[in-house]
Amino acid sequence: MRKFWCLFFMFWPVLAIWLCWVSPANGWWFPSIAPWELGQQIDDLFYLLLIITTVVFIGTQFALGYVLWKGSDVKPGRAWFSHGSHNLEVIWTILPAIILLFISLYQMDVLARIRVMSKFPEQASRDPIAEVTARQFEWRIRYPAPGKKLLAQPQPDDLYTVNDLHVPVGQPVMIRLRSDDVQHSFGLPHLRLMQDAVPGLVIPVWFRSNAVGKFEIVCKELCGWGHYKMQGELTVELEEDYEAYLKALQEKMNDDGYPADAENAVAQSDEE
Amino acid sequence: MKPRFVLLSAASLLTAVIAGCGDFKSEFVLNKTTDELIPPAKEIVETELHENFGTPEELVAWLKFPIDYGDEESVTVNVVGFDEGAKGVVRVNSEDELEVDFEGSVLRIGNETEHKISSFDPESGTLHVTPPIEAKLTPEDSVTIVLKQKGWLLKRGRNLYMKHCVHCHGVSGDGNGPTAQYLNPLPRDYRQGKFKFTSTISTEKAAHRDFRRTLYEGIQGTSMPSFKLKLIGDDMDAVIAYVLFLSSRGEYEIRLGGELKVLGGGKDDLEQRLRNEEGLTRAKAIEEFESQEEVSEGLPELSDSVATILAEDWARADNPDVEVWPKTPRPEPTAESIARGRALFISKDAKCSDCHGMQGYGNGSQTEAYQQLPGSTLTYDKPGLYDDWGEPIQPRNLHTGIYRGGRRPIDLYRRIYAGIKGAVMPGFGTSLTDEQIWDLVNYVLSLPYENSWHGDMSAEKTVAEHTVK
Ligand SMILES: [Cu+2]
Repeated sequence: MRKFWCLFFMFWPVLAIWLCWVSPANGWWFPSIAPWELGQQIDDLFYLLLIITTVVFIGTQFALGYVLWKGSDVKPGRAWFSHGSHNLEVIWTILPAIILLFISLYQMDVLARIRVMSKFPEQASRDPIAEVTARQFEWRIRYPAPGKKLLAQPQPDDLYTVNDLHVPVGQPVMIRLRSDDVQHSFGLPHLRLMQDAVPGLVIPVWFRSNAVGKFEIVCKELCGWGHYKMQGELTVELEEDYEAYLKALQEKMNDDGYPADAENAVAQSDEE
Repeated sequence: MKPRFVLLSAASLLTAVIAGCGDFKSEFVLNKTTDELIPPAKEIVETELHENFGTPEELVAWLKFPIDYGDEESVTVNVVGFDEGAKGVVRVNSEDELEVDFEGSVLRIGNETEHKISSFDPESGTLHVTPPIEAKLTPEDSVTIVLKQKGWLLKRGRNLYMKHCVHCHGVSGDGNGPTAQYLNPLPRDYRQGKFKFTSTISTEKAAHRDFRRTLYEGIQGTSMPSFKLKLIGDDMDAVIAYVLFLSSRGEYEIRLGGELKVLGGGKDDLEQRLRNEEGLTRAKAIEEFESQEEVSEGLPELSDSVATILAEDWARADNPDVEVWPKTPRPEPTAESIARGRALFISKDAKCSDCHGMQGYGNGSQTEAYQQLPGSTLTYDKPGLYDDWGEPIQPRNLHTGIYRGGRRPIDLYRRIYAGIKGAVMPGFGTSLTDEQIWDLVNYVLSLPYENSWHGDMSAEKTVAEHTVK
C-alpha cells in the first residue's frame, strides 16, 4: 500500500509533463504565432518561465518520489531526528530569490512597452482608434467619425457598434478601455494581450497586428454568470478596407430610413 | 491515510455533484391570471395549454401560428451495398455531399419504417442504423435520409434558449429566471405578446426583423446583451421561433383565461355572486359554468378562435404595410430644426416634457403624480409611471446618449412615431407630421451634447498613466 501511494503521487507530475509535451502537436497550445513582435516576446518570456519551472518541477518531484519510495520500507530501530540544516535553508532561499530577481528584471522592458503609456508608439497614443467599453456581457465600441479624432466626451458624429472591433493592419493602434459595471478583462489571446477593464478608469491599451484576419476578443475576468457571452471579434484589415468599414458604419449610423423602398428594408434586415 | 477515508470522501463528493445538478426542473408554470380562475376553468386552461403547446421536453408546434418551426429536410440516395448479415449497416452513394447530423437524422425506407442513424462515415457512405433493417435492400433501392426533422428549428431554439436566455427570461418566458431578481430593468415577460422596440405601427406586434435586431444589437442600458457572435446561421432564427412560441403560448393562456372569466370562470366574480345572489350555492354555480355550450362541446371552437385571433395578430406584424418608414428624409439638425423640436417637446400637442421633463432629464411632472391602475378607478400605491407589466418605469433621461431601441435616426423616428409598446411612451404617428417628428428627433439627438466640451485628453492621460496596473 505504501508503494501504491508513492506511485499515485508520482503519476500526476508525470501526467502533467506528458500533457505539456504532447499539447503543441494536438493544438492545445497557443492559438497561433503572435502576429506582432511584442506578442512573440511575451511568448519568449513564457517559454523562459516554463523552462525554469520545468527544471525545478522535475527536480523537486524526482526528489519527492525518491524520498517516498525510500521511506516505504519500514526499517528496524529508532527514527532519526533532524532539526534541519541551516546551510541548506540559506541556499534554497537565496537561489529562488536570485531567479525571481532575474525574471523580474528581465521582463521589465517588455512589460514597460506594453503597459507604460510614455513608451507606446507615438502614432498609437496620439490618436486612439476607438473606445471599448466592457459591460455585462458585451463590448460596446465607439469610433470617431472618419477623419476625426476620438475625444474623451462622446461626440454627435461618433460611430457605435457592439462586439466588433476593426483596426488597420500593420499599424500600432490604441484603444481606450473602460468598464460600465464590474471588472472585466480585455483579452486578445491571439495577440497574447490582456488588460483588466476597471470601473472608473480609462486604460489605454495598444497593439499591432501584422497579419490580416479575424481574432477573438474574450473577457478574461470572471465577471458574472453571463461571462461566457462576452465574445467579441477583432478584425484586422487593410487600411482601405478599414476606411470602407467606417464609411459603411457611418452610413448605417445616419440611416434615416428614407427612401423606404423594399430593397432597402430587406438589405437592412439581412445585415442585422 | 486509510483507503476507507479516501473512498468516503470520493463518495461524498460524488453525491454533492449529483445532488447539485438535480434541482433544476424545466416546466412551464401557469400565469397568475390562470390562478385567478375557478378550478374547472383553470383545468380547462391547463389542459388546452398542454395539448397545444406541450412541455419544454415535448414541444407541440401549433401550426396555426405563423412561426417557422423548421420544415423537414431530406435527401434520397441510392443503396450501394447492404450486408444481410449485419442488418444495421447500409452503404449509400456518397457522391452527394451528405451532412448527417446524428442528433436527429433518420433513415427512411419506403414511407413507413424509420431507423435512427447512429453513425455515418462520409468517405465510404456507410451508415449504421438502429433498429436493424428487416427488409432486404438491393442496390436498385433508394432510401431517404432525413437530415432535419420537422420542427427542428423550434427544438434547436429551445436548446439555445435553455443555454443563453433561460437564466433571465425563465422557462415559460415569464421574465422570471433565476438571475431576473438582480436585474433592473427586469427581463421581458413575453406572455403579453408585447415587445417594446419595434419597427411596426403602434397597434401592431413586433415583426420578425425586430427580434433579429434586438438579438443582434442587444439593448444598451439594460441587461440584454448582443448575441451577434453567439447566435449565427440558423441559430438566431431558431431562438426567435422559440421566443415566438413562448410568447404565443403565454398570450393564449391569458386570452383563453379572459374568455373563461367572461363566461363566469373568475374566482372573484364567483365569490361576489355567492354573496349577492340568494340561494346560489358554490356547486350550483360551478355546474352552471360547466354546462355552458362554450366550455363543454364548444370548447375546441373557443380555443381555436382565441388562437386564430392571436395568430392573425402575429401574421400582420410581418406585413410590410405596417412597417414604419418616414415619408420625408431627416432634415439637417440645424439650430432652427432643434429649436422647433424643443418648442414641440414642451408644447401641449406633444407633451413630451410631462414625462421627460422640461430639460429632458426624465423628471417630468407625471413621474410624481399618482397614476391610475389599468381598468380601475384606484391608483397605484406609489407615485410614478408604470408599464403594462405593472412595474415602475422611468421616462428616459435623454441626456445619457443611451438609446435602448437603437440610436440611428430611423430608430428614434420609429420610437416617436409608434411609441414604445407596453410602456407609457405613446405613438405620435397620427398626431404629428413627419417634419415635426424629425424636428423632435433632431432635438432629442442634440440633448446629450448640450453642455459638451471639446477637450483634448491631456488631463486624462496623466491619470491613466498613474493608474494602469
Ligand atoms: Cu466580462
